[in-house]
Amino acid sequence: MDQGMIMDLIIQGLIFPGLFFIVFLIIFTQWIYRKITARIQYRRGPCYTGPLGFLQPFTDFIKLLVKEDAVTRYSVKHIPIVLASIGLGSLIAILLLTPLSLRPFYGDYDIIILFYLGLWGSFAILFTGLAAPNPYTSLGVGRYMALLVSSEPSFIASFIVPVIIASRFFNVNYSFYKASILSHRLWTIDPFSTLSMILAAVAGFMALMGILEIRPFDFPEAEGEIYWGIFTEYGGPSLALGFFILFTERIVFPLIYVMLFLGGSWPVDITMNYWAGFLIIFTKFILLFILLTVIDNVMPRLRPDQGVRILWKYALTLSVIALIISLI
Amino acid sequence: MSGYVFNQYMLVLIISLASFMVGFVVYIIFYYIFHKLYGSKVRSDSKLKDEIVIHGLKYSEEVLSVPATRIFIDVMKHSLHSLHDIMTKELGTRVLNDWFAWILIMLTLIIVLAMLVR
Repeated sequence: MDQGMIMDLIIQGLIFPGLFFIVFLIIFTQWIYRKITARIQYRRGPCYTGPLGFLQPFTDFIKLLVKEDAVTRYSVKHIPIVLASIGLGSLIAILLLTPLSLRPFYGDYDIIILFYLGLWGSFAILFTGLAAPNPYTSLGVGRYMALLVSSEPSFIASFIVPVIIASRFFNVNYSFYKASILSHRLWTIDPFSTLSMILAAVAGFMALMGILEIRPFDFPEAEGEIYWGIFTEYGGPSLALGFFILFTERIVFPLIYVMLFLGGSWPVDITMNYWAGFLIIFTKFILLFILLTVIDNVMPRLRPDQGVRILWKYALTLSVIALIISLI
Repeated sequence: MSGYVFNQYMLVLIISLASFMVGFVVYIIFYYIFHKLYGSKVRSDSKLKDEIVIHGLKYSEEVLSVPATRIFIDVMKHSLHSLHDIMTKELGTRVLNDWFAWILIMLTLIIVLAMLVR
């Protein structure tokens, strides 16, 4: 490893498109989320802190961070914080594999690394819940486990379809980076690829909703039934880090969806014109985020058994069919 | 625009390194520094944080402990009881079992006596 590469790793991991950029995106997306939610509920939403209330999510985040870190006597105290930090690091490191990175790090079969890193955030949330002994927390963890077990297989099976098609026709060797640059061409190779991309896009969207706990799949944190599920016992910095993971997941996974299924930077080639390509990916991501926000606000919540059944029945079936067709 | 191409093993190593680096910075900035600089100063001591209140009453935490002899006796009692059940069900009549038991006692006595006499 030469010095320039180490500097690139540090700068991209910590500033752009890493930590600093993610913090900015969390503020921006949460502001959008709150404004849209408020409009749907006939409220104004945040409007005092910063222009148009833009800095309200950041203020809330800082408010949580500077609170006393109070945990119950029987909780595990430090390991959830450490695991939450590693989970966040893993989610943010995913962006180094994408075309959003100015000097991306990639290679053959990097899609497997992407799936592996993506799981860390979910495991960190799970462990955070398990570390606090509370009946509602345990219920939340159980429900979250059921949701993950139901949505992760369809997530992986559907998100790997574009990479398989790209590997078969463009010889990208299961590289997520190369597949995401070519993703707009995968829809029109032949009727089979079009069909498998349509099925995988639908199944992937459902799995995405499941992983991100978007309604109707938000039963792990059903406020009216089990208070706050996993985060019932948490407040202050621990809660802030828990939210940090959830909100980072709501940025990283939709970005991957945009890059694999919505054409990435198309109609611009991001390898030729980085900033134009970046703006297009960013715009598509914001549109997808707005769609997810609207769905989250207008849908009712499913019971855990209903949610799990829908994910197994439809999302997994569609993704497996798409996977088989992509291999034909 | 250029990037860095690696083989699978090296890529796993580098990306894992990056994720640990970002995680460490997150821990230092968003937990440790805020906690040290400000969070530790806002600590307010309250009995409610140390006491457990259940249904409006103070809950006194009892330290439960059982003597080892009690556990041994309990285990033996239960195991012998089940042994007795097994013998009655598996080995025929109660009389036969009693005979087995007496013979066992006799043999034990003989062995003990033999050891003492020697």
